Amino acid sequence: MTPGPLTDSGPGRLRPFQREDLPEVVALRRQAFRYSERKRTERLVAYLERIFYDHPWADPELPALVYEDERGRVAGFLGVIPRPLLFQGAPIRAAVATQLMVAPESRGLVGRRLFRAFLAGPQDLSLSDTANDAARLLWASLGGSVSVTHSLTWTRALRPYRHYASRASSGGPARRLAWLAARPLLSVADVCAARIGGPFRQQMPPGATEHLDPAVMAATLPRLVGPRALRPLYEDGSLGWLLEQAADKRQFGELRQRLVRGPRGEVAGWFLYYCDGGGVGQVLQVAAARSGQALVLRHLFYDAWREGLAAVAGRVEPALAAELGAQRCRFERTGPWMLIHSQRTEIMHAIVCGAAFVSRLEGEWWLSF
Amino acid sequence: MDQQTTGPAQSEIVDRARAYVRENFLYMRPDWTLGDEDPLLGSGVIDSIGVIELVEFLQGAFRLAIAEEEITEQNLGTLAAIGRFVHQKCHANGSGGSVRPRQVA
Repeated sequence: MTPGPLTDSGPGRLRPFQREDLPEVVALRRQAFRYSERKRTERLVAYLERIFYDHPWADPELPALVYEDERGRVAGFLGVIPRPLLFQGAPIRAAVATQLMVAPESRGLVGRRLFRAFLAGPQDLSLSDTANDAARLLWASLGGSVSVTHSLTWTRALRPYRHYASRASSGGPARRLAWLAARPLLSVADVCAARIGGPFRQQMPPGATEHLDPAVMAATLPRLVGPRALRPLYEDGSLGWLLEQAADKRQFGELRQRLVRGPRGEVAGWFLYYCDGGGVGQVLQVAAARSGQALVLRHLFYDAWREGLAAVAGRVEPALAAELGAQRCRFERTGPWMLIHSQRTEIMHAIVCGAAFVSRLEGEWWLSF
Repeated sequence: MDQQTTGPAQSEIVDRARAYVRENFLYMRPDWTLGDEDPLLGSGVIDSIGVIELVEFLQGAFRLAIAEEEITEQNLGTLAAIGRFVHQKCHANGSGGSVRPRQVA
């Protein structure tokens, strides 16, 4: 089924989200989600206001949506963030859906009505990249699709003994205790693995890294991903704001953003990842021209190893998949889903076939409610 | 009217929908009273994914196509509403009339 023009029927009504709704939406979120990075209500209110009102891509035609029940209470919400993209050189509008929530007493059709209204909007592309199974089923039942490749994750072990032992320790307190006791030995084994030959040997790659500046990112991205049909539009000055918000996310540690230069000083690409100092670093974005992919990934792995991480992980980008495989990354289908929808089949085709540069920075992954 | 040529009776639709809802959404709550006019949505019986499953069931069991704009509380909000809606659909297009509906799995 494909959503047509919005002909929403009651009970209650859908309408654009307004600033006055913020306290009710926050209260609804506290009901709907257990996890929040912002424990104090006023901080969550301020964050929602910043993300849905004070962002650089304001578009009155793409508002977040609320469901108002028959008694006038906000009982449903779907966050919408407009994002400008370029498709085959021309600007298009993408809309990112996030934070679908419905009050328990309104569950049934309200989530569907919110998604349906969203998908019937004027955007060229709808996407959502931290969707759970319920959202995936709902989205698909409304004619949306899943980008299966973008729903895969990759992991590169850097300290393999510690990393795999840590994964195995999740089976209960006894296993956890055994893992803690074995940590010193595992560390010694990892030091040996980094020094002897083999896939876990760590050596400084050629070239160098330096702090990544948003202005450099914006200026360089067109060259790095130029041949791809679909890419974000960073040249509008919004990237600084976006990276500030991404750095505000603390769930996975500090955001590291590094520019990679090749041996002759040329820009090879960059990487951004969250580093918690010891566990698994989460990659936000890797950008590189095809010829620079190997070098950028090697610098990423080396940097993460130097930072003490046991492994680094990210979402599969189709254009990077071959090099990730060549560098011994392990692929899994365990995380959230990436959902896409467009009436323009050529846009859908570009995403599914790897002709798009759509990283976690383009979806909702960088958000931190 | 001959049920074999004009589609299932409204009471049969309600009974089969009730059996489906009980079997699929209330199997952990066998004591739940489910009257014809009791709300299915927003009452904890059927959530948003349950709606998708219910629509698939109705389409398969009664051999009809349900359009997106027909997925409303008015049509699916209670067993009685489902009975009226499906009965009307079957009689409007005759799709449920020529073949006896499939049994509930």
